Amino acid sequence: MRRAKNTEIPAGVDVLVEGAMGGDADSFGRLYDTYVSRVYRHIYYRVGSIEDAEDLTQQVFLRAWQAIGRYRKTSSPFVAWLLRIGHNLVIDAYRSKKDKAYLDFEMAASDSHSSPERVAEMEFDQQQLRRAILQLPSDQQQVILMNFIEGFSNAETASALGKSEGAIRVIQHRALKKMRHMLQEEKSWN
Amino acid sequence: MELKGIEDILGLCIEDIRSERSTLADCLERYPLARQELEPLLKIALNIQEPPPVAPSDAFRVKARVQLMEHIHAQKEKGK
Repeated sequence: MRRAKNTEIPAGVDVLVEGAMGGDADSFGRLYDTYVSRVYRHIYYRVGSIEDAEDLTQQVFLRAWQAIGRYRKTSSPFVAWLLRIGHNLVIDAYRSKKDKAYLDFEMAASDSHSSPERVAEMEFDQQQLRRAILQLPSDQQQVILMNFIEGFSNAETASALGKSEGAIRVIQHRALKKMRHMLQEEKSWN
Repeated sequence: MELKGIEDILGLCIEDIRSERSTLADCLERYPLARQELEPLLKIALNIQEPPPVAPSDAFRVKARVQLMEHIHAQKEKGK
């Protein structure tokens, strides 16, 4: 399960965001330096291809620059706004793909929680979970990714998506139920 | 907070477990009537791990930054 570390806001980001909103290219460049790896990693998890992840990451920052004047500071971190742009771009990219090869991409496991005790309590492997997450409807997928993969709190996810915390809890519940169904189905096939 | 349904209980348990205020067993004990639905959903939630720390190549980072800055400056020139 995710920890809060990912939601820590690097020092000075607020100043950079304000500068970028005022049209300062250098501030935006420094925001790029701060968040390019985070955005890339998020997109790579979803598309499973270096080429596509690079292309979409580049598009995120181009879109963000074009839209920065419309950015409104909320209680969610700035990176949540970038990831939301990324989410929409990934959904569009999925639609244009004829195959679903990205679902079968074998992602190496993170070793951050791989103590013997932790491994023993794992009931599902990360490939199964990733496949299930990526087959959720767009709104459910976004909530699960923000809450569990990016480590945002319910309140931050709600703020980033412009929804109430109650609505996020409803979506989260539906998503986990759907994932359970998919995982059970997969199990019965094997 | 007034709990209204399974969505709220699930959300509360997830937040409590994430912040290490509770364990899975504590939550199931606290909501025995919801246990049947709660347990498998919490297990799925608890099994989702962060992805491996992949990073973009330095070549990509630099190239994409240069292109981004060129785009911004070109757009600014156009707007003058």
